[in-house]
Amino acid sequence: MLEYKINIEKKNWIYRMKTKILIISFCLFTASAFSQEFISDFTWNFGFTADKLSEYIPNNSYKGFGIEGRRFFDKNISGGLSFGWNIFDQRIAEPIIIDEEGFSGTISGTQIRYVNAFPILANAHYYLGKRKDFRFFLGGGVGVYYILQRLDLGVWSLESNNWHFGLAPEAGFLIPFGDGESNIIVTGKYNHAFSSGKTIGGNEDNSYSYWSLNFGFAFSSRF
Amino acid sequence: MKKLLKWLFQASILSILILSLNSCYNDYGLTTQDYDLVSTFFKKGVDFKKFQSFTLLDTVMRVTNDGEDPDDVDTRFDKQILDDVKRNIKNYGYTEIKQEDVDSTNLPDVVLLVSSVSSTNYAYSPGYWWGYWGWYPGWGYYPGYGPGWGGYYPWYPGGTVYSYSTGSIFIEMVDPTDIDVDNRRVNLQWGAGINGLTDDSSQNLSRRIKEAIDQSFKQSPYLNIN
Repeated sequence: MLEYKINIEKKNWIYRMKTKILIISFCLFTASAFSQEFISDFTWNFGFTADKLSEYIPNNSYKGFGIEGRRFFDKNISGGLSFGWNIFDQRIAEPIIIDEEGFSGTISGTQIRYVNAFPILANAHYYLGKRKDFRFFLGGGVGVYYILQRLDLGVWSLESNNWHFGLAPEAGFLIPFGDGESNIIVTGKYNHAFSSGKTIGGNEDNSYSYWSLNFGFAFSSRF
Repeated sequence: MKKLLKWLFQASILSILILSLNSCYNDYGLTTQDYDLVSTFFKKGVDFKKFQSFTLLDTVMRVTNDGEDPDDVDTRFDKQILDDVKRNIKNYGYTEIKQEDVDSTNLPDVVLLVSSVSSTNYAYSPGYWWGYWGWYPGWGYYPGYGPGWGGYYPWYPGGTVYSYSTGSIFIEMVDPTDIDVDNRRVNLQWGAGINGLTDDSSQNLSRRIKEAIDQSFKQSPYLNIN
């Protein structure tokens, strides 16, 4: 009987401890969750074409923007999602030279070359510095790029639109102003969309690369 | 309230950015002439210096859709087109043998053929080649030619020349001795395709046609035998 009572008390004690641990864990979890920082930012993106993209469109572009949300897992590490849109286009008057088996040719006329890139990336960043202070960060994104490639030549238009797997290493900084929750954000990012099909010219490698220099505002808050 | 203001600020920045992008495809304010296109192709390995004389057939052949009356098509620029082609090929050093002077003892090294297409979405199959050009009596001086022959256009895949929604002019250079009897086809030595919008004044069209024909020769310097 005594043994039974001890067992009951022991079980109650274990139950109480478990309950306490659960409550403490829940409190800690919710406290940390509700006090985690969240940053949303909007940037104007300047694009600088690289590699194969620079062969197709040598011009750089000021036409681009990005939207991003970052949630902090601890003081220095965040994860989030980003979406962007970069437009590259150029009017080109150079003739197209064709060299095929059996014949060669030249096509002259006004060309307008376009590439529209839409990166949708999951990102992660590591920060140096404290909230409401100047913060430098390093990180990057991984995800997909939807890329529209088009060539207008005379009255003709050729298009090749594809989804690509892509990576985007990134570095940047946040400069707080006002109440410290508003920031100027400046980032540099290298975007690489891996090949996923043919170019409109029939080339087997339709990978795209471009650098982007992004300026904007970031808003920090705690939930 | 503070959050609401932030979101309004963010939304307005986003709107400005989206508006500043204009659209996916900036048209660069192209004029009618900007849509003109000149394509030229030549058969690899051809030494054009071996050609000294030419005959330009005196008709701009109309490539028409089934049921379309070729007599209904615009012929205002035919003489100009032929004159422009003749002027350019002569400038490159070729001697003309007029169509009416061709006989078994006076054969040109190359024959120039000019055709035009003005219908929408029309595909010109080389299979009709003889149907368009078979009337030229000069073919009779070479062995093998006859109905069913086609021109060989390796630069137009699938056996179709083009599908044009606007006006087009084709100039073809044929060496009547370079033929493939088994496949009953004439190997073209050089070809030019000129394409553009036809919705323009007569004066502008005339100027654009001249410039485009000149361009087709200018971008084919290998034709020059001077």
